[in-house]
Amino acid sequence: MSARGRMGVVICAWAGGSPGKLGVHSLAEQARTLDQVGPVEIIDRICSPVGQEKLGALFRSGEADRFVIVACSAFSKETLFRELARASGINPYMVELADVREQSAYVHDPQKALEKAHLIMEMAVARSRLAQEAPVQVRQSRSKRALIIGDGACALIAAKHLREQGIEVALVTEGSGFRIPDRLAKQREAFERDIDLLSHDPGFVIHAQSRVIHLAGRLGDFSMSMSSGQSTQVVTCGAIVLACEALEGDSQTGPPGDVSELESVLAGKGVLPESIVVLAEAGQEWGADAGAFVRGMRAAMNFKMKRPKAKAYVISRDIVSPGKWESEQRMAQDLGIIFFRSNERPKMVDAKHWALKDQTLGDIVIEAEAAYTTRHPKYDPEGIARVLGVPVGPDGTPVTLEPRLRPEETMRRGIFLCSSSFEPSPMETIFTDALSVTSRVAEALLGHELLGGVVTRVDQEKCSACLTCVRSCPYSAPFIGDKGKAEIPIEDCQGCGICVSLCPSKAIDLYHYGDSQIGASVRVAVRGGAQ
Amino acid sequence: MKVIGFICEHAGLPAAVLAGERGMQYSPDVLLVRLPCSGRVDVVHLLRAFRDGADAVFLAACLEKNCHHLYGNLEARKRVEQAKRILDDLGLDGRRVELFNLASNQAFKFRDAAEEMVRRVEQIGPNPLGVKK
Repeated sequence: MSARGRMGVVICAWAGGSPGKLGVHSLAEQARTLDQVGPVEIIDRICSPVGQEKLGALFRSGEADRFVIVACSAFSKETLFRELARASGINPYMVELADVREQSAYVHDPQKALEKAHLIMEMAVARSRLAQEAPVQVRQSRSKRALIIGDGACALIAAKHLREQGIEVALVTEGSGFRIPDRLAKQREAFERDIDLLSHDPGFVIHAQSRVIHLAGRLGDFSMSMSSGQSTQVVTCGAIVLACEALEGDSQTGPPGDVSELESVLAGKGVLPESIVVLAEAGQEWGADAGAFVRGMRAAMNFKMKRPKAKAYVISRDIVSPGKWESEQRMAQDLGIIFFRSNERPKMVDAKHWALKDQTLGDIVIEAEAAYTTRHPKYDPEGIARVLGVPVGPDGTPVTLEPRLRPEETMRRGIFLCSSSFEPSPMETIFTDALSVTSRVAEALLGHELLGGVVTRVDQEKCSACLTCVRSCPYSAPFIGDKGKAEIPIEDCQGCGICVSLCPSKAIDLYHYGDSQIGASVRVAVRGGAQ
Repeated sequence: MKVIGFICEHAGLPAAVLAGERGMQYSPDVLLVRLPCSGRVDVVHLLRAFRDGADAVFLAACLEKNCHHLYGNLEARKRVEQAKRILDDLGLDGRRVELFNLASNQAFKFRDAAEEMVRRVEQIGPNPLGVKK
């Protein structure tokens, strides 16, 4: 019997969050009665290595050409299942995920959850019946080189780890080489070892005193033009990392001084003041994030340890010390550092006095010989972001694709961010950021990229070349081709479907989210499976 | 009662998943349909849902000015307004369809949106086009 149009239904035994929580056998029985459904299997944890093997075997068995996987939310395993399908010779977009865990088992009582799970599965089956093989292209990165823009700790860690993965690294900096800020003085020795190691590495090139001026190409095949004084040169690379460390010392002068001044004094360059006040703040408005707060607190702690008798104040709008930093804040309090939560930015009364508005105590004037701020030093990643064609947020730093799930990616594929490097962050955040960027870059350069999938197709018979798609596309993908009809190249289409819903001739449809598929799943949802 | 929630892949879906992870309760009559972007929604999808008998339909899209596809949510807003007018003209009540802007980490907003639609149906009554049970 031909597998064409036959559907496999795979149910995770853990679909309810733990085995036995959701009646997976009842789901399987139900699935067997549905039209077009061939093999139905319950697999214990599909995402485990053993489960993946079983799923792969089912993909390869030739008993079905489309699959519905009844399991958890799409985020965790969708990519994995699609990749497995591709490797097993099934079109990755013929795999449909039915989330019965986050959308049902976790939120409803068991009886209702099972009823809803039946519907969710049937909705996916209805969609899958109408699925068409989406065009998919596999592309390997042409250039295996990564380009890092920046010269700080983040850039250094990323460079070191990329080299360890065997990736060629080129680094662009407007300065003369790596610069390690004083606040990371503790790690200086380790950093210097790394710098030394890199300087003897033939796979690592530094383009010093250079500025990026133009970027062309796409992920895997970028060419970056940069200028160093009179001459310009072009470097090809597969991926770009934006890790421009905040340029400390270029910040505003005069009270409050930059907290890096205090850090330099603590590192032994200058005389320690008698008492200090640190304004923990970030951004343009008065307010702080964890990075700024912890940095200010640490500077005050180091000061207090050197001068236990001196007064040290930390003023912030937000006292934020998440995770293990909480115990550090406790330590700071035990050391005798005084924290104030002020609703307004403290004002200087005279050279030694600062007025603030504490949230519980009201107006207070404190005495401190020196004042420091952790405010973002004067620095402009915006210009570089503009060269790279990456959107910039209201605070002047590049926007990440998705702060919670994909913080190191930008809207432009192949350009990655170390966002913690834009502000003087503590070592831990820099390190995690640099490592996560490293892994994403390695994935982009050494792995392969799947093009296509959720993309549009144009029925040129119906197209009246009205230009609606051309004008409405956020990515300028559609154009009117030689035949006088709209064409949308799959490598440019991002699959948002805006043109699909706008097209007055209904000449465009989207693979994986076709009009008929959306309609069918709504119908099942409303009327139930038995029609 | 049947409430259909169209969720965009970049805000609605993660918010719904997060609501699930946190075990936020909402009515099991709310069923979700995933879209790549709220801009994918066609007024036809909204109206057909009512023809099929849905009592309410909502969209969970990215916050304005924060759409992953730049302005998909603004397009969706237009579709929803259009559908509202048509529903009003048909005497089905335009309040049955609504668009909610939320961020991917605002699970509570998703839950509130789902609950809000359920409340509206309780107020307005079931869709007269619904299948008699």
